[in-house]
Amino acid sequence: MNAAFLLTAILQGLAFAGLGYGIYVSLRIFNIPDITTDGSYALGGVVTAICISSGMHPLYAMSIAAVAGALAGMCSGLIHTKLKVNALLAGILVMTALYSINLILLGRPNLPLIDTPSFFSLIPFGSALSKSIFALLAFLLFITIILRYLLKSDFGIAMRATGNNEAMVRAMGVNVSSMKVIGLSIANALTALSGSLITQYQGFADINMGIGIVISGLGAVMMGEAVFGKIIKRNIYIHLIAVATGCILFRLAIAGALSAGVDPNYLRLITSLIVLVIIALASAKKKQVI
Amino acid sequence: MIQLQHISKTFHSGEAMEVKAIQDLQLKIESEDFIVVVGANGSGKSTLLNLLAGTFAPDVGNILFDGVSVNQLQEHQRSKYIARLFQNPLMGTAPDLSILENFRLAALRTSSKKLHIGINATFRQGVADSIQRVGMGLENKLDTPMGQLSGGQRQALTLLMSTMDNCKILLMDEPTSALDPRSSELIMDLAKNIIQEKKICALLVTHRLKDCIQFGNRILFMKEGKVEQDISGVSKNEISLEKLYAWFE
Repeated sequence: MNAAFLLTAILQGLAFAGLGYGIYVSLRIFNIPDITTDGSYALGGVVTAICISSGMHPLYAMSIAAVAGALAGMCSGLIHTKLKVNALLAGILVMTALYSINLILLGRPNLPLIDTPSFFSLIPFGSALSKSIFALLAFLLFITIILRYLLKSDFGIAMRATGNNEAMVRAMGVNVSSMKVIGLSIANALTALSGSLITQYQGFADINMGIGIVISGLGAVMMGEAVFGKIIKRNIYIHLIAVATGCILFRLAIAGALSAGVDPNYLRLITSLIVLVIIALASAKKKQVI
Repeated sequence: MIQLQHISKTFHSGEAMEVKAIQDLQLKIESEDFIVVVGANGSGKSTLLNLLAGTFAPDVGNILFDGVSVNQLQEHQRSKYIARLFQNPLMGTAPDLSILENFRLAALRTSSKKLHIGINATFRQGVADSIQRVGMGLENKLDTPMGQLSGGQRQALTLLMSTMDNCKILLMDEPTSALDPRSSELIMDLAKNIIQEKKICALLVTHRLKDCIQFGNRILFMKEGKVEQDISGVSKNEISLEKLYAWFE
């Protein structure tokens, strides 16, 4: 694996931190494996491409992408809590619907961004590469601080307790249904931001970009937790850093497989296998990961 | 203060396994009553507590708090008045959250959970002071995840948590049946003191007839979804274990 290849994987990993945090919120805080992720990731990319190519400032485009992702999460949350549909099924419903919505929004299967400003070009100094590194690190720092504050706040305590002990939280005057809807909105807003960054990084949005992305997110979260071990329980910052690290490691694992000569057509098979290996390793240690 | 008017509740209505849990129940509970509820399994004791808490609504009848119907209020809305202690000592706390965070949530039981960080030095000190009274040494372990404590410790903290914010009604459903004798005694003494101090209305569902003698000012004996015996005052104070036991014949 050469240095440029390695660096690309790390940068992609940083851009995937939003996805990792999204999965962390839905899976670890609410115990919901949220399949909406596939759709909201692509939605984030599609919305960003449309907004930026129509001349909008990249930060506005990213904000709109985040709101769009939140709306998708809200739909899943409402279907799950109001119609009492299993959370997995609710996610699949919204993900399926989003595929058509993304296609309608985009009007064609993919939209390239050529010579348009991006989140990375907002950095006024340095080479293209250092702009990317700096912008992605700034983004990671920003969402880490925001998410950590949110989770430590009174609202966040109620949110974390919801996935932990629903009966108790209800007795503490928390509306569990609203909490889940808000939680899934936050998770999918974060995921959409990842879709937005990847679109800007690779220079195009593609209708299929979200397929299987939920598994990448799951794999990244589990990988980070496996590497950091028990200390993730100590505080939220450590857990978030573990998740972000997991995102990078996961990208590196896939880049490693590709550079070892694996046919890119096998990419999703490789992704699934990597996740399966992590699950198997954890289950050998008698630890449930999902 | 609490009135139950002609309450009925049937589960699996119309099916083979239909259960008439509560049948035309009439009950008035005063604001400083400490009622011990006894009865055979399936006599409707837990259903009564669940109806008061709003876990489910009655099929027929009205439940009034201070003269106002609460039938339409859901569980999380009624939690403004009601605190609960369950049989399973793990039910009242969130295991992955620290002791301090659990208490923070409890402190906000009747108010909104805002986007600001509410755990500060003052709050920490307040929790440490209140935990000190149970004498378990937990005041030095405020950042420990709740899941690492024993059942007895968690039940004691649940009791403190559920009554720290001015609750009016405490519902206890066999709160000590999963605990060892020493922890049981500690929990019940703590409950008794808190109920007296804060002048809370309390209902204790129990299978230990000794509790009827030791605690409360009133005993309800339930049978087939109805109140068979309702004694208080002198007759409550003079009741014997033998007499209580005879009710179950």
